[in-house]
Amino acid sequence: MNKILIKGGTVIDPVSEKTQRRDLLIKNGKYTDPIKIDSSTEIIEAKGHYIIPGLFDLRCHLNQPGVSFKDSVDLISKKASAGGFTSILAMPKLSSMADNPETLQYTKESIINESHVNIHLSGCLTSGAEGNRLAPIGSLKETGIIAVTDCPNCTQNSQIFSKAAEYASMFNLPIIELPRDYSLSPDASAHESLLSLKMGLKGFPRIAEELFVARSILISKYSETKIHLSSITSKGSIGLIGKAKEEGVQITCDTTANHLYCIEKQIESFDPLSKPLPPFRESEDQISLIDGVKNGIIDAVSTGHQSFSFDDKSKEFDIAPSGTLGLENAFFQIFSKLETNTIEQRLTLISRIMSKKPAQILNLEPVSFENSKVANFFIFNPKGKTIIKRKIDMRGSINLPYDRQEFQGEILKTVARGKLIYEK
Amino acid sequence: MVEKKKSFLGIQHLEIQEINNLLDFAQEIKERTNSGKNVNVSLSGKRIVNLFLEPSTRTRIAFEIAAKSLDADVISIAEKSSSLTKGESLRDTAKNIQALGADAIVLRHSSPGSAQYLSNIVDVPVINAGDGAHEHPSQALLDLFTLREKLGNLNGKKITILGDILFSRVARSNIWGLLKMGARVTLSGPSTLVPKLFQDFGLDVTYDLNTAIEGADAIMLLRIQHERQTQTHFPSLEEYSKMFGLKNGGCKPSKNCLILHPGPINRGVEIDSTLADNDQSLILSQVSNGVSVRMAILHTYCS
Repeated sequence: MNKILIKGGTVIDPVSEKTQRRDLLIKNGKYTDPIKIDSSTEIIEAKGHYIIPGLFDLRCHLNQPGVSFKDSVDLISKKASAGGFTSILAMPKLSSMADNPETLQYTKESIINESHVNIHLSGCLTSGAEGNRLAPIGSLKETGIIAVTDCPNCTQNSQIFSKAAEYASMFNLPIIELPRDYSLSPDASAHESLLSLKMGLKGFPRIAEELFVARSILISKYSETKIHLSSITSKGSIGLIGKAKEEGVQITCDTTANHLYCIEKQIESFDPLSKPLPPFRESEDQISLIDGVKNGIIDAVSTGHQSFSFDDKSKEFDIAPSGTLGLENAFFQIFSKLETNTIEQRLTLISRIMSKKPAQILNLEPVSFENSKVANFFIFNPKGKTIIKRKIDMRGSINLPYDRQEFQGEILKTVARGKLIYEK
Repeated sequence: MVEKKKSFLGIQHLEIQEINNLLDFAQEIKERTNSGKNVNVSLSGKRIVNLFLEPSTRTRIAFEIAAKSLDADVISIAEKSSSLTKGESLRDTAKNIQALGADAIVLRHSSPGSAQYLSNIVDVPVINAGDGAHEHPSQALLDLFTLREKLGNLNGKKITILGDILFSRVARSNIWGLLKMGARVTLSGPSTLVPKLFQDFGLDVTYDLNTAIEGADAIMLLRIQHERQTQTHFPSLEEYSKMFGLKNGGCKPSKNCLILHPGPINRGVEIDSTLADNDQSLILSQVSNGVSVRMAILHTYCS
């Protein structure tokens, strides 16, 4: 019998909305009454530390060009656990596109089931995520997908998008959309602003996002379907979504931890490693995003994690691929950015937007600490320090938005699927 | 560890003193050349590689002549003759060029920031000969040089830049340079190619051609560059010419107003031939000044 006692920590539970000091006993991977300890129980001292429900990433790209799919999933599992994540939603670019049941079945059996963290799969909204015709969403559902999306692509044809939303809702599958009107942002590699004008980069204006946010809101209202907007970056989008929510439209949204932490200044030296998708915007957007997280207009925070090797990223800025790492740094960035009166309040908010809400958006049961539930949590020491920096690793992991940052706090251990998978 | 040499990347981050030094140096070179004297500076024994990955006539030839006039060894590589067509990255191409013993790389590239990117990769100085819509600093310096020759001090002078500002590296470099020299800069052209946001550089934007050219000491014309813009950014070249073209009989600058154009000219679109070829026009002076200015740049950064 494998028993672990987490002793003396403060448990943050967004499901019961309680924060309290209590011991947790995990027997064979599941919580049980902490009175049943015996001499074989392994004890982990957690006094002064916080026990936080495992984080859930709503946008994570598993594939990494140039690395075998199995290896990239392995790398992602490691990064996820180091960053406090115990579940991720994989975007549909897998070893190949998740627009057919065979790919999904193969991926699930060969790789996902063996992963240390919970990897949930999404399927394509349209074939090849190309936006031209509907993917076989019903058949994909049978292989276990829990959402449909073309992310990082965005279906431009409004008829197809609208019909896809209706069709997917028949299977109770949420649609996830990363809103972008390509015709208003052709060849864009930066937020359209004074800075992009100075740099001579083609701009991705706020309106290219906002127009498609408005489209999703209207389609959600019209077809009475659930649409989740991924990686919102513009202050105007927050206004539109806030108003739609007041009207009762079934719209939810997230932003990424990198967008809460960084602004466009990050790219001013043309560093291709810092080039994200969507682009970093201005401080007024960042302030709106932070407010949105606090007042609940933004439901969740994702990572947008996409790993590239140095060779892939080391190109001229406008032709380098867009995307940044986010799993390892997301929690620390949010912890440092959100100001609250107490640490407990901050951690409760974080566990709501990064654990409970993401699960609910996907119609899953959120992680909790109830007896008989599988243990998914991490132990956080607010007094420690964590340094996140770019590592020259031929397998990737180079494209953090910044070179090096030191953060308050440290993640000491992560338990996922009932097993200890990370120790600092 | 090889000591990294300073590159010439753009006007934006140059100090006024650095600009003036380059202009003065170019002036000295031009005077010596014109009076038949030997230029008393040399880059003899230096290998300068012109890596031109975008079409260019004036700039490439001017850099070649400038380097040869300084007795440097010049090698010119065009995209079609380079390994980039075989899929080699710019990074690897540049590292190989350095390994072959280049002492400086002059880069023309369609990506904004490519010169800066390259300067982080190689140890030899990189001379930016135009990077996307970002900067074309040698063009701006020769424009400043040409204007200074005719107008003297540029402080308080009204200089109008007219045409496709949005996609123009020449415009950006000139804006930085002219503002640093104290000129009053006015931008004009179709609103789709001259976003109002440019005002935040500290200059005027007007869509009325009369206002733009009234009282101007000089007008810098920019080439209408992209074919596709005629569908998305303005209706047709004919309409552009009608609304923003400089011509006799229509909107016409005063007799004292100088006219510059970085070339190549679309005759009958940005400017009528009668104006392009008259005494007000400095278009060919710009080209010949380009050599002295580039000699000054090469010697300053590569010696």
